[in-house]
Amino acid sequence: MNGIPGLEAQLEENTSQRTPCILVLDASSSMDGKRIQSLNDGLMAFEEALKADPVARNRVAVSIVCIGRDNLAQVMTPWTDAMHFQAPTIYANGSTPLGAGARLALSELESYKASLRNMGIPYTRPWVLIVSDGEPTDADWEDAAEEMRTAAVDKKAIVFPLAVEGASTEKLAAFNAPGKGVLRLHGLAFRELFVWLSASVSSASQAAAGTKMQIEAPRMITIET
Amino acid sequence: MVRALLDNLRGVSSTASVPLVVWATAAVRHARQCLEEEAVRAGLPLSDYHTTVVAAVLLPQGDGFVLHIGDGAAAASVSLAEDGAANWKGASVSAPENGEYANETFFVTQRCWADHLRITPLRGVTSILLMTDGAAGFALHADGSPKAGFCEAVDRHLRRVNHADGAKALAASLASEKATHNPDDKTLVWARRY
Repeated sequence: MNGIPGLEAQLEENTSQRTPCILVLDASSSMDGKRIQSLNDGLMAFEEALKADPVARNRVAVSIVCIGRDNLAQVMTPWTDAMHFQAPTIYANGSTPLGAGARLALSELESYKASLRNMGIPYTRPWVLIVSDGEPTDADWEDAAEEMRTAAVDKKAIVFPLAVEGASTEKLAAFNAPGKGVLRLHGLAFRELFVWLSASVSSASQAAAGTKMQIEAPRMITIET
Repeated sequence: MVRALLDNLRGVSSTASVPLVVWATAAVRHARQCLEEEAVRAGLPLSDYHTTVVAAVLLPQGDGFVLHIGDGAAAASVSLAEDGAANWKGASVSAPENGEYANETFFVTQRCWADHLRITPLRGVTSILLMTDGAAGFALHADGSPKAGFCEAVDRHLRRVNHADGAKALAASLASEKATHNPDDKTLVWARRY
């Protein structure tokens, strides 16, 4: 059956809504070697999975904050629509200022949401994935963890702390709402992690608010509460 | 609930002495009660019946109003182009209402429904489009103004063909691959004044 003549050209959404997804990645020296290689491999898989998903490529926006180099938190990838996202290559170096990384992620989120509002682009609740294989080394990390925890409790963001082997799950859990726990990555299954993240954030970008997520985490990720 | 709302809205011409907002609120309240009774009968929570509302009441001369809770939208043209199709310049719009997040909106089933009931008076309507959130993304610009290209294409075609062919063509367009990149519900109702 033919549609309405001339309508196909008009089927562009006014402004596709965005689901912001920010990654806070531990690139401290303890991640050097196979870990950082696997993480970079996982980011490539994230790029491929997002771009292959017709909804995610239009709706998901990605930013990456790295912690480690010069003992600082730095924006590695500024906010980018998934269809234009190019996985960066991360090098391991320095300490683990996880508190600074969390603060930078929250500040990046707020400024991105403000720019979306200015452009009249609607957005869904942002996702924050915090990946670490160690424990925070900055002096005031607990204050920063509380800021992130408050954002999770106040539904300003959905937070996923993810512990790579060797990480302090107790300290990572402080970055999330009470009882929400920490994801634990078994082995170096970053590729599976990021394919799962892409599918999940795509699903979230389509779901009505409050809908329970239907996508199960792969076996190599468990949730510790 | 739709039946109850329609039954209530049919009474509009005989209740002109009652302020519109009072009358419309009573009509929605009664329809909502029907929904509550249905939920009780089915043994389900009212939240299982969450729905937004976009409705229009128009008298034969094209005067009336849109009644709206939540997202979705209504766009009503108030003049005609030279070829007799609707002119969408200066159209009246009832725009979507969302919470902070795009996938959060307001439903008639929520306790706060009356705070989010919006009424847009209309005069001299020539064509009207009522739609849910998926179709509203195509029909409105980001600032809430109607996209003339979309509204004109729909209106001109549906004026030319019979009801059954028009419905089929509209359904085919809204189910096309390009349209379904947007996964939201895409219901669109078109009506014109004769």
